[in-house]
Amino acid sequence: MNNGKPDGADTHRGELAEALSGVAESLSGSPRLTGGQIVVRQIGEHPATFVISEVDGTLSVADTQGMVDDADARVEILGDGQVLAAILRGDQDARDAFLAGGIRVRGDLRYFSDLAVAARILPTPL
Amino acid sequence: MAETTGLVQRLTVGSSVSCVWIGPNPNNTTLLVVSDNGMAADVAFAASLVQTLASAATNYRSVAAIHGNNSSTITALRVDPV
Repeated sequence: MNNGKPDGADTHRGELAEALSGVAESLSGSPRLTGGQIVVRQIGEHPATFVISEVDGTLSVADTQGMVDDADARVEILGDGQVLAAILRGDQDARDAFLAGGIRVRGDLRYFSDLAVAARILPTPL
Repeated sequence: MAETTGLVQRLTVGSSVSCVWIGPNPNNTTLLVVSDNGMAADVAFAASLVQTLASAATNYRSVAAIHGNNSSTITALRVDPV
């Protein structure tokens, strides 16, 4: 905090967390969900790690403070928090942002593609 | 620089950008891209990368794709001997 205002870390972390929560809410109950954790890592000056987990068809977003076992991730996404948040909100095209650089995606890409299409982040499957 | 190794699980060739999934199995891959800046030398290099990836895919050869730590664009490619 700085003079009562959130600093860059809090702002970026909150922005991405809010965007992730919005997507998680839209995907909850979707038949596309088949289990496994989705790990989203905010890279850069203020790193953060969020884990999206499914419990009984409902997705929840947790800020893990960096404490997450990579082996548990079915899909892992890394990138700048502001860019990722913009993509999740639909303010920025996912493909354009990915090709511009700074974003990495790994894991079960077919599952990622299915969820991204269901969440309307991607217009067509990868 | 980072290095992603594995088999070429999928290769999608586009007019300006090609995407490749590299990893040990189809459910565990990294999404990488081959692109160019439009300059003749860069276009030729990108075409060479795509051809090498395609060859590795059809011959089940493991590759090592070099890219930036926070980038998915392949800058170099290595095919190790069997």
